[in-house]
Amino acid sequence: MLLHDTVRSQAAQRPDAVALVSQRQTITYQQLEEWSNQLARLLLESGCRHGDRVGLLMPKSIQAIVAMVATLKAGCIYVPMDTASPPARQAKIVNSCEHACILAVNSASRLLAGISSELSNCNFRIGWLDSGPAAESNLDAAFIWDDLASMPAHPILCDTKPEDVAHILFTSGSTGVPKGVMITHANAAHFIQWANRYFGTLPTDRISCHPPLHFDLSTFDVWGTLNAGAELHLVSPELSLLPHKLAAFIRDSELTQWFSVPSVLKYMAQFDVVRQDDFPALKRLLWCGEALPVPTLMYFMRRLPAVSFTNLYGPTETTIASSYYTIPSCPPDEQSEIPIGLPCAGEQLHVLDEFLQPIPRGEIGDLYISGQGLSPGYWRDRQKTDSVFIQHADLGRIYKTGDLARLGPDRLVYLLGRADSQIKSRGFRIELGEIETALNSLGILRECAVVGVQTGGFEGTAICCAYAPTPGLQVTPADLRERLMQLVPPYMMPAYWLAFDALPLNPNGKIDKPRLRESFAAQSVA
Amino acid sequence: MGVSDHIPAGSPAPMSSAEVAPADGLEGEIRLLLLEVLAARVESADADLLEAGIFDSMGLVQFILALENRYGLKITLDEIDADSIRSVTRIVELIQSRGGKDQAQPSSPEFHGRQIPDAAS
Repeated sequence: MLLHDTVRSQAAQRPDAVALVSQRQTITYQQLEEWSNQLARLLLESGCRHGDRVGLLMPKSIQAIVAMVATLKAGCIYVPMDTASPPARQAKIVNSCEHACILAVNSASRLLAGISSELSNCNFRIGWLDSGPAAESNLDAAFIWDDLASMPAHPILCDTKPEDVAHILFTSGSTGVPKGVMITHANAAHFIQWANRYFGTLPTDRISCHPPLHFDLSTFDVWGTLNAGAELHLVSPELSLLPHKLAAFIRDSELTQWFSVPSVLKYMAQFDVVRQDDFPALKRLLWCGEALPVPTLMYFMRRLPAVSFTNLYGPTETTIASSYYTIPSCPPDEQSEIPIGLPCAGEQLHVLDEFLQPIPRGEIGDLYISGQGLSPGYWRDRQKTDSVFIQHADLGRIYKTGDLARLGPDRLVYLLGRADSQIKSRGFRIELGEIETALNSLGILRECAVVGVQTGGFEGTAICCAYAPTPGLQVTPADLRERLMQLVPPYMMPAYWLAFDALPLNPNGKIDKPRLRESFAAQSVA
Repeated sequence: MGVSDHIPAGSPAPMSSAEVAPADGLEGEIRLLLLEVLAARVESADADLLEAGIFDSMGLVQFILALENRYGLKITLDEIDADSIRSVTRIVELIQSRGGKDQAQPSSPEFHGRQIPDAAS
């Protein structure tokens, strides 16, 4: 199955059914089919060829979804770009992908100009999915949205195969260079077909699209919904700051599926925005990205007894999710442990020791995943690919998640945390090393250390930065924040800062991170 | 490229919080509060704070708490919408529409909220 084929078949069967809803704008499957055919032709006409990368530099919107579908129809690979991320970081991505084209909107023109100025040569064309930037911006336009009308709207043929890459999602890399995870049509289609079968997704479903499009959970929202012929409701990112508005959105849109990250669910529970038997249309609530605290789960399960609750788990490298656990009943107490459960069909979870051998049930080991979700690897990075995608004599190709896990007596898998310096904060996977690398590059610090501190609040793991300025300089947290903002996206910004003359060292002469974590915890963090 | 280019070698890092606060009343105070609570320097009163990712949920809650303390107001999250916190100008309007009264000295050096004051070893 190719991801975009689903749009054509839905448009043929139910042309007037609503496909996408964004604020007050709605489009049908027929419109999505026609616009994406027209945009695909514009991409091809502008010179894009099979396998070329097309950057999507725009906020989540109907145009952005049309662009995803159109890029695949043109036989190209889409690369969603985070419009909140600074130009310097985006330029690294453009440089690595060698985009043939960037599809953008007017509101991103300043960002695009910033990216262009970071690059030594800009060989990409720009397609504007609105009227384009102001004339004085110096950004050219291969085409604009109005040009769609000049293109035929009938289906377009391409020779894409299921094993071809459909999109590349960039995640945090410890050396400061983001890693591009390649996801094939077959990878994503496999999960979507399993999930739509497991959840019994229907054309009458009304499904949320809450995460940003550069976040792999949105892949399921978008392609899962289109595959089922259901309605996709785009959630404005600003709503995540306002828990009452978020609840009102679920209620008023009559959503049947809400897929979110634990930090947002915790925030909603903390402000007690869910009424008893609220959201009467809601059938299922799913989360992924990190562990949901049991008290939050209990809150939702008590308020929404008619809703089913499913924990999904899986890194981007194994496509959306690899395991699932539907909570059978409200946990009896806050100490209950929620497993990540069982592998999705076609995938396997392995708990192995340091010699890649299976370990006895109940013991803690490293979690590996194999099966149909496994990405072909990182974009143009053989070394990083080979370090985590391993050929195993008995198990075949396996991916090292970096998570610690054990197999329970119930044969379910339980997660126990990370084996490295990667953290999850507000659902985002972050290499703390990337933040340290960025801080060190500023040239105003003698040394720094970034640690994750578990908080009791809804933000989950808080990013904390301890630093010592270069002797003779005075550096405030605001100074650092301002400069760091140019290098990392907002979700990587430390929330807590601690200034030192020199960072504390352990007996081995290394920065004493456990002690730093204690210092932060002793302050207002925890 | 690289922002370190903007820092002349060997010079002290510029700007203390006092230099950020302009002499124009409420607007300057809000900007100072953003600096104190979120370590966020805002370039203009109309800059889009949401687009710039100044707030995360925790940060927003702490900032509103700081507004409440400072201006003797009660602001609950369900009363505000995204537009009322979109820029310094809008926050000023929010405070004025609530009839907020300044409860503190404008140049108070006290840090509240999430930024941790000098804990140098």
